[in-house]
Amino acid sequence: MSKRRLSSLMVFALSAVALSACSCSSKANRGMTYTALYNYDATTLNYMDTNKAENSEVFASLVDGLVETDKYGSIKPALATSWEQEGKKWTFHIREGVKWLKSNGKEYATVKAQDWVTSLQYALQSDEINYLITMFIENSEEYILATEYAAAQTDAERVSTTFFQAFATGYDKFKASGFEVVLPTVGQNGNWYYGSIDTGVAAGKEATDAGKNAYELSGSSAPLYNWYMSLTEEDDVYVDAEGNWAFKNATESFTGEHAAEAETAVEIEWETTQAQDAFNAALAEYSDFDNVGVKAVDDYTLEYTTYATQNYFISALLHSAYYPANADFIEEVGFENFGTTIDKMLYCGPHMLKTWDIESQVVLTKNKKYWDAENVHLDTIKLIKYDTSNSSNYGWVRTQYEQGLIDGFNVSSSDTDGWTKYVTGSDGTGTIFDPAHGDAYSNESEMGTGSSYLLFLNRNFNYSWVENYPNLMKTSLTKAEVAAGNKALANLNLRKALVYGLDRSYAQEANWADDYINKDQYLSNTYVPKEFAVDENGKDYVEYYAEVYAEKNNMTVAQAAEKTAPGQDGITNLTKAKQFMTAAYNELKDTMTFPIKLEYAGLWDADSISYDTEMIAKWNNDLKITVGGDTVQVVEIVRNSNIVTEMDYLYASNYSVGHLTIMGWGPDYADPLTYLDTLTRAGAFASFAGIDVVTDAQDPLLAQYEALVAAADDESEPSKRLEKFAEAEYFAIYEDAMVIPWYIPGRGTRVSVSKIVPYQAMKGAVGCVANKYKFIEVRKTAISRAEREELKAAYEAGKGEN
Amino acid sequence: MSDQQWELMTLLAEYMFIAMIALLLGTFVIGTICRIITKFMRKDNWFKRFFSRPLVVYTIRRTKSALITIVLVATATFLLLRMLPDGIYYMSYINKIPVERQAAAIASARAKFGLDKPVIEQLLDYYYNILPFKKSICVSQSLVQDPISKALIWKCSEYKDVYINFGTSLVIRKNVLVMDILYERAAVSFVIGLIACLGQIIIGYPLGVLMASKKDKFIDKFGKVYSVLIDAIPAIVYYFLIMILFQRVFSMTTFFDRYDMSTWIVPLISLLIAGIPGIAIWVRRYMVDEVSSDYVKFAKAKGLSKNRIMFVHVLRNAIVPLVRTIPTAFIFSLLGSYYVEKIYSIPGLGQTLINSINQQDNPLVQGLVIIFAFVSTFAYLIGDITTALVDPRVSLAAKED
Repeated sequence: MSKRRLSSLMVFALSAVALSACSCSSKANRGMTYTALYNYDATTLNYMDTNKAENSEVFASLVDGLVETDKYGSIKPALATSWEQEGKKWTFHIREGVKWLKSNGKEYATVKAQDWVTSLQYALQSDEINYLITMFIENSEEYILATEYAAAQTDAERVSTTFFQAFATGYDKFKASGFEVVLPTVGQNGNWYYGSIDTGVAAGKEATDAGKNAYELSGSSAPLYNWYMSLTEEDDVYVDAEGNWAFKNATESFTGEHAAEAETAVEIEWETTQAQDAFNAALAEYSDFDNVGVKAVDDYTLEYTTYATQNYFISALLHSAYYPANADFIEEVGFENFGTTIDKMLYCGPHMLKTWDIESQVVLTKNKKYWDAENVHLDTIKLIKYDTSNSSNYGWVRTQYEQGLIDGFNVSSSDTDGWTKYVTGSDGTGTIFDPAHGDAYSNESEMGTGSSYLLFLNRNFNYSWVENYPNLMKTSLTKAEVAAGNKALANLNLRKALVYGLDRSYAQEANWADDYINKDQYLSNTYVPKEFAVDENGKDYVEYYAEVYAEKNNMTVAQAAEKTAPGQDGITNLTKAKQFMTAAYNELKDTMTFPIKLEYAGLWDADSISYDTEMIAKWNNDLKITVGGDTVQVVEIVRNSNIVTEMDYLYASNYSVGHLTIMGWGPDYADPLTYLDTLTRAGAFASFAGIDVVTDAQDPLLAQYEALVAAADDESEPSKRLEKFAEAEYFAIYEDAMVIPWYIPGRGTRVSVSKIVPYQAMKGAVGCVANKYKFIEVRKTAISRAEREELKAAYEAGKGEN
Repeated sequence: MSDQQWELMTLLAEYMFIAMIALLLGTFVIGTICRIITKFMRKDNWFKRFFSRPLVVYTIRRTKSALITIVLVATATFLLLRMLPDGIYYMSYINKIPVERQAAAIASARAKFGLDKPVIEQLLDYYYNILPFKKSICVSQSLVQDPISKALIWKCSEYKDVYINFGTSLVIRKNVLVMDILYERAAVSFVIGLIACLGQIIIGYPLGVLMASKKDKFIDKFGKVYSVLIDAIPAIVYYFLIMILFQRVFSMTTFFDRYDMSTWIVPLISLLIAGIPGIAIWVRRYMVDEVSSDYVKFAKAKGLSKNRIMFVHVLRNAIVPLVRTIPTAFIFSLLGSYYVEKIYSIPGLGQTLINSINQQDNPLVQGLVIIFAFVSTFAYLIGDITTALVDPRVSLAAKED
């Protein structure tokens, strides 16, 4: 009896498997299919909540934006048929008759202008992507801040919100409204009140820092911090001998303990009803979503209003944050559920999602009702999960290609068989520029991933991170050594010596052991990559940069172009490095003892440690100078030996724990400002260069740089604009010596074999462009080199017409 | 000791304290239930008669310790996960946010991931959520514009009744209920595991019998070498060898596709090859023990055929110690094999556990660990009970005297 039951169960299990297997396999492999491998799984398809690469790889094909790019990278209409710009106002005319489809292919609704308003509402709620909106759309930042204020439960929380602080400290936007600035004060009972500016207490710089650190590290005393930050530079609040914060006007000094009490006792009391009314009016105005700069004028007319005249706004529309979304559907499934499964997603893009088995495979099929279906050539796209980042798998990937399972691969030098077969050939004559195998081709990319990596010279390595968070932030230096390093890096000549003295070419040779033979290919001599920004005549930003370089260095433009072109090291100049180091030595020798230690925060794995060690040894050696016959080492760069795990590195690099850190920046929109803005005091990299807390007086060079960036941003004519940005960048690298541009991953030449017809895909580093499969065709066999040459010639010829 | 170290020590102490409380509470609750039952048993009724069976008492005792194990595992996992830094959740985008809003963004990320409350409160919430009784949770919200203030407010668009609420995944499948992920993944692992398991039994048992009946002949030696090799070589090595063999020699695709039966073959063969010797060698061992018994001699004397003696008489006795492993193997197949899933890109539970730990997907890790703990403890429990049922030599009543 039991035996029979067992076997019937088995038959059942087997038949279930067989049934599910048969039902689909017969349909596969019809039409043009593209198969590839992928490394990281998409975690969600909710494009209003994420823009991570692994997610956009899947959702980019499912939904279209207002605009797209063509194969040359110029902006072309997609769901918008045309648009006009009048200063800050952009009007888009939406394509009529485009349908939202459900996963089963049934029509759900029509794509209308309101869909962009809906998606913006949601995208604003997501901290991961709302920066893309708040940098452009009028009142969006204020809207977020006002929402945050409205969500606060107690007065203490309200006081700590940026919205309130902005009001209380006379945030620019409120100042314009002509209200009196109100500052907080401590009353007799120890409660904090907001009175007039005359009675307000103020803090010295030290107290401000103490408050800032205490806040950021405890994560709980936000009101304290914000209150401190709002104080002006007077001495009513100071740090006493024991390191507590003291108040001159208060009856007792506030220790950390008391501060916590005070925090809960915060009460908002308005000095005048006028101020209160003004505040409430501002709150009501900014909480109103209708005041945010997006409006559906009618079903097919959409209007965006930006903060300023930003011509590059159009390129930001390539981001998924500006994709449309249907409000009814989201209401049906809920925002959290949206994009979590195939059927909880609406489609209007070139492809539909058929299978989404994470850790296994993703299958996309052509959307037959797509508005531009004739330009979608791939019927099926099959993406299979496999760890291709591991160099030991490269040979395996190649065999997958050779068996026809995938449609292309990059030949890696760590796969010796493949390298011989495709690149060098059996006689060893082939090179990466002229591979031996007829199917292999030299795959060049000027812009790579578009993420530009910099080495920061941090003149304000904030040791309090380490003091307060010893378990997370780790350094191998003592507090005194850190301070000495900061002091040394404040010296301009020393920074210049570091910039000129880093042999990046040598460092590259040591690094990037994997798939590049010519490792210098990664190098970039500019922060803004080549091919990223061009003027109306197709002249590249880097060409403008070369002109600036030529002018400053008294050389011809051709010479300068050689120096500034990516793919080689045009910055390193050891003679100059030694000159500047000698100058720095003379300036510092009386006040400092040599060598001054500078800490480099490098990666944690064994390979990187050995690369870094080699690079640092060379750097240190190149910076040695001879003074009166003796060799002097002014600075000694040391690797942070306490970084041993990925988390250590993440903390060290994200909180800039180190004098020298490496960080990369990917562009948000197609304008050099997206890169160069990061190096201003309000920019994302301020703390990495140690400039976030300095004043104009302390660092006039920085103020000069900011002025250059601002001036360039004011310029609307493309050629002038690029020229001015080039000047600003030159200033940042060579005159203020803030950063050293280093490398751009994916840049340069590699050998690939592919069945994809080249020069068809959309081009661009902004948004989800690179992840769309529109326009792409795949052949049954690899595209031969001869054919590639022809296609390239046709592409180049078309460039002029474009 | 610096303030921070002191803080960490207090935190540790807090954790230990919570762990102790949890342990005490767990033992107390389960103990009380048992005591009530025992009290009730004093009176003579059907209940007492039922509970005076040794097997029932044994089962209850084992279940009690299994439950305690699960509570401990759940608590330990929870606390260990809370000791990890939380930067991973917001570091990827925090630099892009304007400076004045960063603090608020970090706070809201922490709130979203439930890390803003005190640890003890989080733990109590967690216990509440994993206790299996019906609770209605809002799984998804949408925005509506308030007619008066014109501000956008969140409103719940879908309520769902759940019994065990592990929360939603934070990273791997953002916002998807952990329970849904578990169902989906376990199904894949289970079907593959089940087929592999059956295959192992179907091939492993006869092989063991053959080895025993042809002791020291070729088949026996082959089986021994095979099992020694499988035990001695790390699994990953022969999994790769199998994969290369099928790929190079038979030109078969080794990418798993749930909907394409032919892609199931290679992973299944990998699992089979790895699992068979374990069964065969034990069957052989018990069979060899039995072959020298008197009843075998008697059967031989009676003139029964060798196959009949081996498969009908000897196997029946030899199988008893192995019975314990059968339900265990079936249940364990639910959890999948990490290596096989990883190599062939199979979306099963084994891979999910490793990936969720790597990406610090706390609710998913918690859910998975509980499932793994539950499955393991109950697999052994069922194995033990089956042994007790089928093996006459196990006497549970002995203690009663």
